Amino acid sequence: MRLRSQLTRRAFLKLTVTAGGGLLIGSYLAACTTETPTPTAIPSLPSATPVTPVATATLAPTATPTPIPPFEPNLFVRIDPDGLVTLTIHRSEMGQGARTTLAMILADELEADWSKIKLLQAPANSKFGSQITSGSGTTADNFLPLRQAAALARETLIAAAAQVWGVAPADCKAEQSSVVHTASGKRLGYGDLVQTAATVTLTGEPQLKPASDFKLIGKSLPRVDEPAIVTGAAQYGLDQRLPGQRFAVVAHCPVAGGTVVGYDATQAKAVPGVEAVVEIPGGVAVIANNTWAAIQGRAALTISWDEGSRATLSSDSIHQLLETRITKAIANETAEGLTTLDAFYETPPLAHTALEPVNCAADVQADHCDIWISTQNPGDVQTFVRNAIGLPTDVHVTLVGGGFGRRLEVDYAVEAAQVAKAAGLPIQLVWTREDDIQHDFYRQPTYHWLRAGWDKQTKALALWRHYVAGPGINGIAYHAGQDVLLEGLDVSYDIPGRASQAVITNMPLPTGPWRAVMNGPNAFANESFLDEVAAALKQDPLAFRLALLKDSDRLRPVVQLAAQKANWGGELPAGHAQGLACHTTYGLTSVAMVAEVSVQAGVVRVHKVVCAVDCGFVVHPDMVAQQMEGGIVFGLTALLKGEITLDKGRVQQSNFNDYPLLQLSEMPVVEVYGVPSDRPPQGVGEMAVPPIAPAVLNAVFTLTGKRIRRLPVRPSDLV
Amino acid sequence: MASFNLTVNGSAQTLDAEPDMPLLWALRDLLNLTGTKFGCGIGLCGACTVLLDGETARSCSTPLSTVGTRSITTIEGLSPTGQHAVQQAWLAESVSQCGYCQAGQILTTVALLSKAPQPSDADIDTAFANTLCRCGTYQRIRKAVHRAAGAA
Repeated sequence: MRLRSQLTRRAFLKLTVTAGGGLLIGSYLAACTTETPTPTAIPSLPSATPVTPVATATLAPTATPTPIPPFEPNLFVRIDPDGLVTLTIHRSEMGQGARTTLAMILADELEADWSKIKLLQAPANSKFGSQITSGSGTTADNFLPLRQAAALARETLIAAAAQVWGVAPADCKAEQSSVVHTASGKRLGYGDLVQTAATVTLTGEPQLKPASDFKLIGKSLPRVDEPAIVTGAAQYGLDQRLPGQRFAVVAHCPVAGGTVVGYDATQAKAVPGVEAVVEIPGGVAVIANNTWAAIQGRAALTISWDEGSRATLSSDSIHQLLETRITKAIANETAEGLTTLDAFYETPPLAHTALEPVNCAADVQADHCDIWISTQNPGDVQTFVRNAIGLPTDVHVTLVGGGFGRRLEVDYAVEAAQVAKAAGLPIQLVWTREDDIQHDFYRQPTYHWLRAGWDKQTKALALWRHYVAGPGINGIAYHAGQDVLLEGLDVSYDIPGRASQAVITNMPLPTGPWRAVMNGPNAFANESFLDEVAAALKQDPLAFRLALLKDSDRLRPVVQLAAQKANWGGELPAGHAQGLACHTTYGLTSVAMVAEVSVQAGVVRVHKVVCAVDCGFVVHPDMVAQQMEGGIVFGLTALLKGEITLDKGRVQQSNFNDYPLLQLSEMPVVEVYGVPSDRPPQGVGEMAVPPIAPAVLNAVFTLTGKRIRRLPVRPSDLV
Repeated sequence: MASFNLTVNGSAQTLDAEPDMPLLWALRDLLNLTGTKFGCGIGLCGACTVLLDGETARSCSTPLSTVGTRSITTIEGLSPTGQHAVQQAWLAESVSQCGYCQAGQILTTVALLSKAPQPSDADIDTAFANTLCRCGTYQRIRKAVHRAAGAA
């Protein structure tokens, strides 16, 4: 999602150019003190080098000064005298390939030897600019700035070698972590140039290499973390082990925001392994020397709660509220003399359910706090923890076991710090799956009204309305109003008389950014309803869309490619049908999908999805494919599986028994095709989610004549 | 509190723990083997999968008192340098995204191939029931299973 203000490329450039009058020169070194936390080592090398598993996380010690200091022209690049190139990654790796992609961008422009690179994960530090990993923006936001940071380092090293040899920099070139004097073949490794490089001041801005010179960018290099993942060495938040650490679980009020009136910890403290029970603002924490004891201890607590004002919230009350708001908003809409078609669409709240339940390790000392966390948002974690406990706080970012927007929030980080402070011990705060599902910040429930109108005689479309009612985003670090409901609300089809409206409907449901945010519900409504209109006008859904897409709309070639690769309209096995949908997310990346579907005994079976994408320049082709595959699975879960329901303020689901996810046996064959583009990288992380539900449901209509307008699909909808 | 003698990845380990402690937490918290993951605690996601005498077991739902003398294999016990055929297949097919579920997926594959060296897609569907991946790597897992089967 794009709610939080991230530094745009332009803003990032402005920031770095005005600081000291040059690009990222010197300011980091000058400000570097012992207070700057050391980045965390990423325990694997992007090469064929066998990986030594690191089973125990250690606090990274402050580096011992060496006789020759390393060359650190900026926050992202460091060269040691022995030639080791260290790159710092300032966005979170949560499976979308941030570490691999950003490292490739830096290494390529730096002309570094990819087989001899060390990666560090940046701690929270405002000098990095935005460290928020969201909005599918990691590659798009950082492509140019990181290349400039690396180019600065490269040109400084070239200038240093030129100085050593007494030649012109233009007579030298960089390759494989070395500088070569082209005419003579003389070579100096980057390590040998570290001392001289520190004395060089470049005049003028560094040149970026032409795309034709890319050696890494554009290739599907192996994911840097994969060796550690397959050997069990990869360390997620939940794997952090601080010296002297205990494990804690917190009992929360079943109604969000409820508070403790009183509690009895006698039974809890009797559980072997439980060491303490402490109250914090959000509930009661049980601290033990192992996770199981903490969980058992919590189960043995007796707590009375003041449930607070949210105790009246229910799925029925949510539906009533949204329906009422829409009814009111559309009361004065007219048909304007046209033949009209109306429909109402609806989506429920959804949980994120990354496989790693949210968690956080905290070590609160007398004058300082250290946080180790699987997070998409270290900056806000730092701010909110510091404010909560009143101490300067360093935040170390781990590998993330799935983000999807949940890890933008700070609730469990604040909780961990509060427990650690109250306990006087380092603790690993563990949320069980039940906690994770019941105390989420959900994707907003929505209620949509759509109307299309056409001339009775000519059938020309002359009216299109899409009104959506839903809450905004009301988390702790994240808040948004009407703007978020507008995401993907308006179609780009060339239909005259288009109007849309976002009816912000506040309700006491905790909501937060969820993969693709409102693009999902809005595309579900738009692309399903467009097919309804096509059917009413007896038009083929593909031809209908193409007729409505302007030549300049990036969706056109994307739709055409998907249809071609899917053999739209061609022969299919008996009982199969195809459905089409397309969407541009955040105005950046356009995706079209053709789903091949069958329905058996009321159960929707998705056999194949052909996906076409225009995401601008592609840094890592296979990562694009992975995000399309993964986004499709994510969207299919929302289409076919669970929903969050509430009664008396309580979330009724708790684990994968009542909030199921798509299984391996249910995954369709996915084919991904790219539309070539001259645009810079635009982002892919969320972009496959919006089109998949309407593509499948449009096929379901073709098969059954039944229009599904509410998610998730239930078998009773189709028998 | 009781004493348990376990064989973990070929090494003898003695633990003092409550008999009802699931093997998952003994591995992660007492032996500091964090490669086996916690995902749901009720045996429905497979992230906690280990092998007991070569058979898959959901360690979150396996109390220490039931392990007995069975040999425990965790992800760390396959090959620390990733040389096991299944790990190699995972690398070749670029299976992982966030990777959190993959230890369970890999061990499930090891057990499947020990019983069905050339598994059909239906065999794979069955073996991977309730072995969840939120990132949606299923298509690649399937390909990697076939690849590892082919490499045997």
